[in-house]
Amino acid sequence: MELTKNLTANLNKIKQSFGGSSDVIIKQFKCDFLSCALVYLKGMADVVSLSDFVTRPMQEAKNLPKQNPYLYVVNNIINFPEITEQTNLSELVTQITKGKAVLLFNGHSMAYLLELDSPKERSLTEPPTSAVLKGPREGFNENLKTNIAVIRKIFSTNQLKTEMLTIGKITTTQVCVMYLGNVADKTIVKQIVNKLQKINIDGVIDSYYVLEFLKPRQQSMFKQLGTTEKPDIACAKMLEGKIVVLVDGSPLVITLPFVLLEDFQAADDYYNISAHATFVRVLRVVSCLITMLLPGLYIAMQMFHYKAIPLKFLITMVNSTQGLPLTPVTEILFVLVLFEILYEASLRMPEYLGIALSVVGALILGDTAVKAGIISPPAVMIVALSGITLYTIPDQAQQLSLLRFLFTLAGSTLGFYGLIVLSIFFVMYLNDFDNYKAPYLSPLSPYVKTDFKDSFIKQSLPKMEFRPKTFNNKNFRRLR
Amino acid sequence: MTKKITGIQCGLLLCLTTISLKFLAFPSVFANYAGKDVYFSVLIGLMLDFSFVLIMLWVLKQNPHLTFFELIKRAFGKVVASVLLVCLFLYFFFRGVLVVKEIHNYFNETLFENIEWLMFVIPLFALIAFMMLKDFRTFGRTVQFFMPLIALALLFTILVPASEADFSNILPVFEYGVKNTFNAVLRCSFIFGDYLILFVLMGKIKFTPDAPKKVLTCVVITYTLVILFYIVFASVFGDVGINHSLALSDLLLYTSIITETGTINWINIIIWLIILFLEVGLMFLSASKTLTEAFNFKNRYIPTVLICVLLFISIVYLYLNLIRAIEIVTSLWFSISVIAFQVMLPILSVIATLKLRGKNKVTLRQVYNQSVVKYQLTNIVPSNCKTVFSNKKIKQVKNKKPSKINKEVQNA
Repeated sequence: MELTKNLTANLNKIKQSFGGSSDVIIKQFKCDFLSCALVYLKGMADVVSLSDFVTRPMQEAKNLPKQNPYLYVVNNIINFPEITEQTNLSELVTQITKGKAVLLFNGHSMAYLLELDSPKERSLTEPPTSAVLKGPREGFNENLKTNIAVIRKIFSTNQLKTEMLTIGKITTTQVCVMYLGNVADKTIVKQIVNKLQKINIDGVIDSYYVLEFLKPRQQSMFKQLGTTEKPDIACAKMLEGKIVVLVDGSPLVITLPFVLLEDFQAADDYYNISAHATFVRVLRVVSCLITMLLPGLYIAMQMFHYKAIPLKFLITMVNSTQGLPLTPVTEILFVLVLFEILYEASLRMPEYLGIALSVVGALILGDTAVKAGIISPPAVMIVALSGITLYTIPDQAQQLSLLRFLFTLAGSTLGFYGLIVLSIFFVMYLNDFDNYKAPYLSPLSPYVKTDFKDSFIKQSLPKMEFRPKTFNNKNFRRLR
Repeated sequence: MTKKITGIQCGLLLCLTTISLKFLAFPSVFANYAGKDVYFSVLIGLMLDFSFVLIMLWVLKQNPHLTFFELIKRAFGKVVASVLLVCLFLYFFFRGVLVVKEIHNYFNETLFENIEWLMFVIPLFALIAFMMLKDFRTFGRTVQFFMPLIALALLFTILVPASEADFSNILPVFEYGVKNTFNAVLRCSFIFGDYLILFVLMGKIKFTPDAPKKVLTCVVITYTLVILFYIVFASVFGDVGINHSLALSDLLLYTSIITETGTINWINIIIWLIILFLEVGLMFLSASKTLTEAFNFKNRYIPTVLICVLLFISIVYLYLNLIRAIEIVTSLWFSISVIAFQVMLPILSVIATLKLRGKNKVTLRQVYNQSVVKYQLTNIVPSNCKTVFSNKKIKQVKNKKPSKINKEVQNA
């Protein structure tokens, strides 16, 4: 529906669109001989700026030209740079809901949108899941414009490209695809934009909604797209040839393509000495293996392959597991489930109860249950170790937690045979992934020699001459 | 679009095929015929294999985009191509069955007292079926992923017993006569012919100029390790090698280092089990792909189910015994048939390649002319030009003006 020249009719149409909503403010006033109206949502538009730059100058204006006075007011009276024109009513209503103010004139069918929105937003604090000892501490917040501005601040170049889309029939959420034009693969950008354009959903609340649609394999439990809350990480990934997707209302930014190795790298690695970074990365890999395999290995050796256990440890284990009411499998699964419950409870409960639950959990699991002879100390130790190593790679915690259960079940039913079969199955499954043209287990398989400099080992920056070849970059050389 | 493997992945798959069947039951079979000269038999067999690998690499270079089926079909007709592929299928299928039996025996000896059939068969079938549904690129990447472990296991298996082996046991050479050495090669011909995997991989390799070099490097290293293993086997067991039907595990148990470092031996066992599973997967994947090409199955589940049913019949229903299977494989008529097959296939491929050379094949001259036109039109040197010609030639492409260009080249 288009606007008419009658101000009252236009205002009635707008009121009707909002269904009598009480936070729609309509201010009518006079600008010399012109009848005008300002429409905005309470709490969304910056009323002080509206008053200073729009209403006061307009009300004080005199001697407006008879011919085309509207353009004169917009260009000369209103002291505001960002003004767009709009004649479509539904688009107008959408922009009002986004926090813009609308200026209407009697006798003129064009409305003027004023970018005077002042959304309430969180400051750019360090995200809790990506804390660093050294390096930038800025994080993204929920405002898309702010997040784009933060990235623009780092990339002072015209090569930084953005493509804006709107997703969600009700929420009309803004989504922005950002990439470096001289580095990223345009075919992948096109693929992502096409996928986003095909999303037909009522609302998008967080970037995870969009992430679900961008995943190449919908049913897979493995992480397929990268995420970050830090601008320095997002920019570093864009320099490697990746593409970043920002969603309004979410501080979590999606990066793609994604390879598994990324989660073994942390921001800290690039702000510390290379040798230590290498050591820590190897430690993370070992921790990942311990998390996944330790409970399953323990069960397998206890039930099927006790000959593999060193004699002294075997004697200790036999002594501690004598007389237990639960079978080894049930015991380990019981402790694993208890740990998961503790973790879930500690996330949801109020802060002031945290200490109480920690004490209760430690006492019940660590002491009382063992003394009562329900579970054995080795089982608690194994599961505790597996639980601690789980959070050396927090981005993979969910997947590793599930895999841990699967390997435990495999080890308990078929011993080493089950563990080996399951390992081969998962390695083959992951090798079958091509995630937006990037092999999931690269640079291990396929072996990419140059990418090894920043994989499980971390060489110093002067030696990393090339961008990762895994990501199909246009411009391989980054250092001369 | 066919997902292609790289040269190094092709080399690693060939390496895995070479390792299969040579480390467990067959050292004792070789010893049965050749005595202490097992390593000589293996050396002769592998040298013959190496010559066929070179022939196959030449065939692959001449026909980088053709599958074996396409090549034979164009030269000799569809029927011949289908028959050859069915024979290839049988070859890989039977090889896979042997590896499955080896796995079972290895498990029983090293890990379990007596693993129940069902507990062994169900996960194995599930894994084999899963592997058969994948492609060679996935398999190549998986082998690349595990290759550091495989290399470690091979080196450990060879070097640890070698450190305590008495190499004088292999002397004198040819103690029981040269004839027995060649007899061993003849009777155990089934475990050679590893290059036959290249027939299945034809048309699925990204044949860059350095691909043959990478394949040959992998082949040479693997063959060297296999020969070393047999030298160590002969050195450790001498004349009693015939009694050790699980050479891999027996060899390690006869060293004092292992008794002191039991955990390392367990790790070695686990890695060898991974190798065996990958071997069996590769054999059945090759069988599945050959069957698919031979009968042009559109649905990839059909050959998978067929092979699983056949495997079930041969292993579970017939309860094919490893000893019985080895007796069949080492029988004279079977060995001669296998040798004939192993020799015939490369020769047919060479004949087919030479036959097709005169036919519709685009010559280098045509590629050159097409490249000139493309460069003149688009200012880009085509990628086929970069892989086929040297830099000097590419400069000539940039400077040449197109002159006698026929219609076909203009449309390029």
